[in-house]
Amino acid sequence: MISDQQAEQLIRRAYNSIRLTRAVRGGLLCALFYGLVRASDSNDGTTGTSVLIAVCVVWIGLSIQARRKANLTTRASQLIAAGQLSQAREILSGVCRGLCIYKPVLLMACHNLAVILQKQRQWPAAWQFCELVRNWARKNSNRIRILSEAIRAECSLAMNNLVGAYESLSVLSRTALNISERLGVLQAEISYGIRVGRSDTVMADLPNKVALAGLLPTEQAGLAHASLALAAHFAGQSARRDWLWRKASLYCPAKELLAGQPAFGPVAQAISTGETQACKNVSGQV
Amino acid sequence: MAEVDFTDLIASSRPRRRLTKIGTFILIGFILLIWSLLISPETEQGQLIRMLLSLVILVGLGISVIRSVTRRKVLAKCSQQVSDLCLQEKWSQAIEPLRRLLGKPVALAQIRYQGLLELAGVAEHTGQLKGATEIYEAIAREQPHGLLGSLALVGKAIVLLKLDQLADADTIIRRLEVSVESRSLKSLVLLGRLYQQIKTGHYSDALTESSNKCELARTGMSSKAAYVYALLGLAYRHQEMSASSDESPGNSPEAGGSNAEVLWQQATMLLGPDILVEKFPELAELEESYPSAPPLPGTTEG
Repeated sequence: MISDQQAEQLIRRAYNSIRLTRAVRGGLLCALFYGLVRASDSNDGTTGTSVLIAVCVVWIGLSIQARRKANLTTRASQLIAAGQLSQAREILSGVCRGLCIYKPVLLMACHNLAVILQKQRQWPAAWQFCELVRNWARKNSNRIRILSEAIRAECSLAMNNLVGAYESLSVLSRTALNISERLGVLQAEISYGIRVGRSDTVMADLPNKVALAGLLPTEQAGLAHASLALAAHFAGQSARRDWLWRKASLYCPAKELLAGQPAFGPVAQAISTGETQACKNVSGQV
Repeated sequence: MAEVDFTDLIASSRPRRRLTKIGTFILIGFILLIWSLLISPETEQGQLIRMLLSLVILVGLGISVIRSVTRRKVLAKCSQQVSDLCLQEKWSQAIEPLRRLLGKPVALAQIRYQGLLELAGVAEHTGQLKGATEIYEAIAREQPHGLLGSLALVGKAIVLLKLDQLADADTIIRRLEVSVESRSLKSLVLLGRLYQQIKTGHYSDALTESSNKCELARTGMSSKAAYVYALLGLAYRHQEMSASSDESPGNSPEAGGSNAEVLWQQATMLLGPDILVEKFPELAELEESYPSAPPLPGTTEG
């Protein structure tokens, strides 16, 4: 876990890095045009060519540095997948320091930081990183932007910001998503549906959602199944609720689910009441 | 099913040496720029040559950067398509995109190794076990340390067990048991060890600390923990069968409520019985003996 102050510092660093990168890229582009114009000048062609050489040298140097940062970002992604979050955060804060000529590398580093902060339940800081990616990667089809929108939706829900969640989900609903992107959005979609009282919408296309939820990592799979069970509970589909809760308990024990999300209380209670009732019926028959 | 030449795909996907691509172009560009500096600027011809050279270099650099970026985008898209198909276990449909992905040199190591691992998965699920071993060997040889190498070795061990090369598989698993640290890898190694114990009939060894094994599989493998549950179920079934043959003949494991049945129900709740049996054909015994978990109410499949 990092403190709020450290998170603030990280965000500031990322913004500074983006500003610096923009300035350097702009400067290099200007120098390139200046070099071209001077190179075609009949009186002083040498200056132009020298400027072009200088631009090339600087660009190559920065490209090498950016490649190194890209490798570090990939390494951080692997560490996140392996659950070594603090190591990954150290690496990524290094990537966000100073400039990086390749925009996708910085975007990925910021997105990965959002993932780490989301995993550590530091919702406001994670939200800010998503916002940063959202503002910088303007194209809705940008893959990193799509993944960040999904995290932003979840953070917004955790921060009780339903409008923010709606904004992100509506962007995502207008975009063609592949399976991994749909996996990223699934939990936010379910939670949002439940929060706005549209459990019937959540229950639509349930087999497909269950199949998708089964592809998630353990904790997320448990949470997704339990959320679907909650939606089934609100939609009055008790058979499906029981089945989904039973499956959720195979990923995460019911105690863990309830500790993480007290909102699942009604489902657990309804199931235990149902079981008690069933026991009473059986004993009555006997 | 079309035969795939795995050796060809491993070789063709190897990245070219860097100097053959942008590096070469940059080198040529530098030489041309320096040459243009040496041309006398006084003559009109010299000025024209210098300007043209600068333009050629810039346009060439631009084209090569655009081509490289486009190629990367195409690779990423193709890799995503393959990953999606493999995630959904549509192995045979993944063959063509994999051929496209690995048919040419892949500069990005991460995409290449992911593609190779998926190709090994395709080979394993389409019954081309020798091919799968070949791919896992290549990955482990190229990446001897770290996550990828360990993943490839676990995969290889399981395939070797299927090919009845038990001693080789045991050596690999023994080595991995000592070296791996991450939870997800440990659970995969556990799966390999469990399968080896089932193959060799060491059911009581398979059942030692079974609840710890279930817990490790649950936290490390998500839905794929079903494989561990099912293999443990099979070990329980054999143990229960041998116990019942020692005692009264009427006390059969099919009587219901046995550990084997409970584990089979849990496994089939997470993954379909057909997927489980396809991965480990030994599990057909459990499929025939016990009912699978009920499907999601309102559907015909689980």
